[in-house]
Amino acid sequence: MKKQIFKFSLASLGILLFMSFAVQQTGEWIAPEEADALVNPYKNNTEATKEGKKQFNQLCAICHGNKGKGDGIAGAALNPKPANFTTVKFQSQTDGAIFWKMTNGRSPMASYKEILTDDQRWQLVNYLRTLSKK
Amino acid sequence: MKHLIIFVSILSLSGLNNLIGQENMFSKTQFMIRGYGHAGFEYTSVNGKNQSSYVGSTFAPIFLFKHSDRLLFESELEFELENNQVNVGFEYADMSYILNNYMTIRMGKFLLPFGTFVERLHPAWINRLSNMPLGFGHDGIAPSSGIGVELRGGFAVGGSKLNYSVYTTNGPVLKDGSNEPEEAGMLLFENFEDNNNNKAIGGRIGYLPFSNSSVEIGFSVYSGKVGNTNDSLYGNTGANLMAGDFTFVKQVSPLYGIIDIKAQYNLSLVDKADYFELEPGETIPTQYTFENKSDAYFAQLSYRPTMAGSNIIKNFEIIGRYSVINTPEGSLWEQQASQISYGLNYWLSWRTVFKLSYQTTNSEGGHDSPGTTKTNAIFLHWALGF
Amino acid sequence: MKKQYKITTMLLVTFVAIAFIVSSCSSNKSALVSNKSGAQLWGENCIRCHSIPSPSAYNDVDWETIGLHMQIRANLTKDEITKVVEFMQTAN
Repeated sequence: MKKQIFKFSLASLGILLFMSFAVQQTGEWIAPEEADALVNPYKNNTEATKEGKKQFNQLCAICHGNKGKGDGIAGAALNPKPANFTTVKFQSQTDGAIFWKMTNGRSPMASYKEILTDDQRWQLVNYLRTLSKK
Repeated sequence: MKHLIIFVSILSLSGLNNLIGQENMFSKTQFMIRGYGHAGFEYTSVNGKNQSSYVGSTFAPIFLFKHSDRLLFESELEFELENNQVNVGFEYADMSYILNNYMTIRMGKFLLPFGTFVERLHPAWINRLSNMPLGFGHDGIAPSSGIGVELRGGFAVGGSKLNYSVYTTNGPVLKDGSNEPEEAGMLLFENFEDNNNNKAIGGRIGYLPFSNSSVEIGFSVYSGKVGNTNDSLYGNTGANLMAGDFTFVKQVSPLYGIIDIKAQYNLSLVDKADYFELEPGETIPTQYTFENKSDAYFAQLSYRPTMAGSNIIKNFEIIGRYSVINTPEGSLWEQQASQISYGLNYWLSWRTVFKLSYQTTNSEGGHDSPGTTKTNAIFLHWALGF
Repeated sequence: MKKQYKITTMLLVTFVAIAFIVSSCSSNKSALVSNKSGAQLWGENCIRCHSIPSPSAYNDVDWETIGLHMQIRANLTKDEITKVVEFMQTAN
């Protein structure tokens, strides 16, 4: 009886582990080169950063997390997983590239072309810059 | 086989419908098949006697017909394999019409909002464990569906939200023991053509105190007469069912994940009545009675480390559930049972889950297996919603 | 039986009264619910019962059907479901 339970548990754990490696691979998302040429009109504007924070809490935090680590409550369901804004990889993109990504979206990341104005999206870019690891 | 043919023809019809739908992107009529299925392996040991089996496959299609932004028809069938037969359950079929922002009217056979488990949590891809808590389902004391009319809706009140549902149905039926003496005093919730002229009334109020919807407290009632019309013994027998439910779901940052608590308490009060039992070797039945009060509850806690660094650990979830049922002392179906379940789940996607669980049930009495029963079980299920 | 109906009704009335009192005390938060974005409402409401669905799982038309189904099943407010469906349609 005990032996059987043990065997069964072992087999089930094995299956679970196997499944856990079947995590879907996701292609990298790179903004087109022309996006890098876009200029952020709010560069170093702290007022704009504050505005960006408001937008962030309302629209982004649910998936990207309150601190932008990509660990928001709704992020668990998504594939690809939401970006972690605190990483060097994310922060090494140009402002223009980040702006382009939030403008166009890539499922399941929404497109904010219609929802936010250009200004609001630049303000958000400013705020995302504050999330990098110091 | 007959069921299969019917089903296949429904499916092919729906396929046609979809093709037609795609030609006209602006069609107001929409049709979808949603639903869920599961299959698995179960190992049980009842008082030391072992049994194991692959179990499968439950297929529960939900048909949604959206005729306009206000009119919806929905129905769920449940195909199950049991005792080497295919069982088809007709879970619900009802139409709803959105009267205004705060009121929706619904008619037909619908899942009763009696607590939250049956209406919201029972589908295999939603239920964190492989089976229902004690008190639900077969021989349970909580109703699952009813035939009637319902008014429901929800609205924001300041920073919080209220939702409500009031309904009238044919109501439960009292088993008087004439067919199955050992079940005398139990309630049967399937009542397709009412056994009396009294219509049961019921409702639920849910209150979400916080604007982030993390907490919901609900209170439900369901009451009516349950005896047959003009029955001299049980014509006036009534039943009052009540339930309280609690939900808490929130991502708690210091704990790096989602804490999910669900609980429901069900109480069933049936008016006292006299029942009859034929003792072996006797010709005249003996009369007996009992306080017809049953209750059952469950509390479940689950945790999923969604804020963990690893994408694999994020998908695991642990669950614990405790549930209890007490049926009336002095009845032939008297039972006191408690159950503890532990589970480890792996979420392959938001609607696909592998559920591994270990469960122990201690039961005293019950009309199926009198005496003390100790059941240990291991379940490995794969469930998905579609 | 009559007594039971009475008790039930009284309990229901008390419950509603408490709910209204509590919520009116927090009326300064009233802006909170109606100011929420579709994304927030999606994340906060779906998970009350089931895992949060990925927007990419269905197309725009399907989300409308699912929206109506869930509005009724979960007693969501009109404002909530409208915003959630709009969000799903921008993110799928």
